[in-house]
Amino acid sequence: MPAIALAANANRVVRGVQVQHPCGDPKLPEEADRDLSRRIVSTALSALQTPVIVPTLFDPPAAAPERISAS
Amino acid sequence: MGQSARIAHYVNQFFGGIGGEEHAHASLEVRDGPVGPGRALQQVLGGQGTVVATLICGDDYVAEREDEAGAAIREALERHRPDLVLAGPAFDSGRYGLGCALACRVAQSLGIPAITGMYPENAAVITHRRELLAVSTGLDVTELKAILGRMAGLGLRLARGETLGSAAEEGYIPRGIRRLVLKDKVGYERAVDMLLAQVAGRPVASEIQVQQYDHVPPAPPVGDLGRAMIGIVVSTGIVPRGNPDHLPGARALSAGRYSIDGLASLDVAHWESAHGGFNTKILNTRSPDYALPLGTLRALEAEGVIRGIYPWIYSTVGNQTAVGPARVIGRRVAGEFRDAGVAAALQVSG
Repeated sequence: MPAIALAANANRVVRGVQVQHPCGDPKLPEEADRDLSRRIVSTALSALQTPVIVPTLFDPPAAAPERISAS
Repeated sequence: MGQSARIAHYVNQFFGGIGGEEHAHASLEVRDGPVGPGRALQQVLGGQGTVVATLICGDDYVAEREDEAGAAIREALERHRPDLVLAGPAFDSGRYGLGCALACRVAQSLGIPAITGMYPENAAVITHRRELLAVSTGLDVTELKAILGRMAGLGLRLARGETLGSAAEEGYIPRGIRRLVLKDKVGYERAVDMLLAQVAGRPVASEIQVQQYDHVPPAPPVGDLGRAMIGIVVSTGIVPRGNPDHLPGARALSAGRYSIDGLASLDVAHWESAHGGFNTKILNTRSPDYALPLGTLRALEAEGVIRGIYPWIYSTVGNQTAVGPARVIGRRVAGEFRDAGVAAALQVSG
C-alpha cells in the first residue's frame, strides 16, 4: 500500500504486489514469482542508493520481455 | 421470550448492604429478589424483566479467591437459571470490576448472556476486555439508574437472542473484536458522500482515524551496496511459529527480535504471521518470504550484490499501531542497527 507509506512520510517507498503478499505473487509460476521478488527487492536496494528529498515512490520494472532476435 | 426475563444481579458487599471495606472479605451470599441498586433496576425493567436473585460478594473475596467465588457464582446461577445476568455497574472500582467481570464470565460459560457497566479504564476492562460486554460509565454514582437502564436495554436484547451492533452504536466498551460488515454502498461511493458532506459543511464521520505524521529527513544514499550490511524490519507480523512473544494482531506496543542467522529462507513449519489486519493465509500456508523476502536477499548476498544480512530481524504488527509506541520501536531498532554497522534497513509492510 504505497499510498499509506507515503502518507506516513516514509522517504523511500517501493511498490509491492499486494497487502497479503507484498514481495511476490503466489499466483505466478515459481520462476516468474522468484523473478518478481528479485525485481522488487532490487528496486529497494537501488532506492537506497538514490538521493531523495521528499517521500518518493519507486516502481519495480516490469518483467523482462521474452528475448526476440531481430536479425 | 414472550414473558418477563429472569434476571440475576451481581453486586459487591457495599451495594448489597452488607457493609463497607471491613466486610470486603464476605463470601458469596445469594438473596431472592432485588437488593440495593437492584430495586432501581427492577423499576427500569418494568414488566420486561424480574430480578429473581441478587448475588452479593465481598470485593476482596472475589479478587483474592477467584476460584471459590467463581464456583459459588456458578452454583447460584445453576440454581436460579436466569435468562440474563447483570453485574454492577462497578464504575472505576477495580476489585468490584473484577467481581462483575467474574460474574459475567461464569454466566457466559453457562450460556447465559451477561452485561456489566464500568468506567473504560477500570482494571477489569484492561484484564478482560475481549470477554466483557460492559456499558461505558463515567465516575458519577448518581447516574446509577440511567446506567442500569442502558445495561438492562442491551441485556434484554441479548436475552431475546438478538445480536448487538458495534460498540460505538450500542455504547458498550470496545472489545477489540473486528467483524466484517456489509455496507449499502461501496467504499468509493462512501468516500464521495463524505467529501460532499464536508464541502456542504455537514458533519462527517470518517471510517478511519487519520493522523498527521512527522517528516524525517531522508538518509543519504548508500554508497557501495557491495560493502553494505542490510537489516530487515517488518510490520507484517512475521514471528517464529507459535508467536512466542505474543505479538498482538493489532495495536502492537513492541517488536519481536528474532534470529535468521544461517537461514536460507523462511518456511511455514517454523514461521508465521501474527498480523490481524489482513488475510495471512498465503504467508502462513505458502511462504512467510512473501512478507520478509529472506530467500531473495540471500541470493543477492551470495552474488555479492550486498555484503551481508544482519542476523537479527525485528518484527511488529502494523495494524492500528499508535505513533508513540512505533517511534519507540523505531528508535530501538535504529540504535541497534547503527551500533552493529548496518548500512541500511529494508522495511516490509503489508
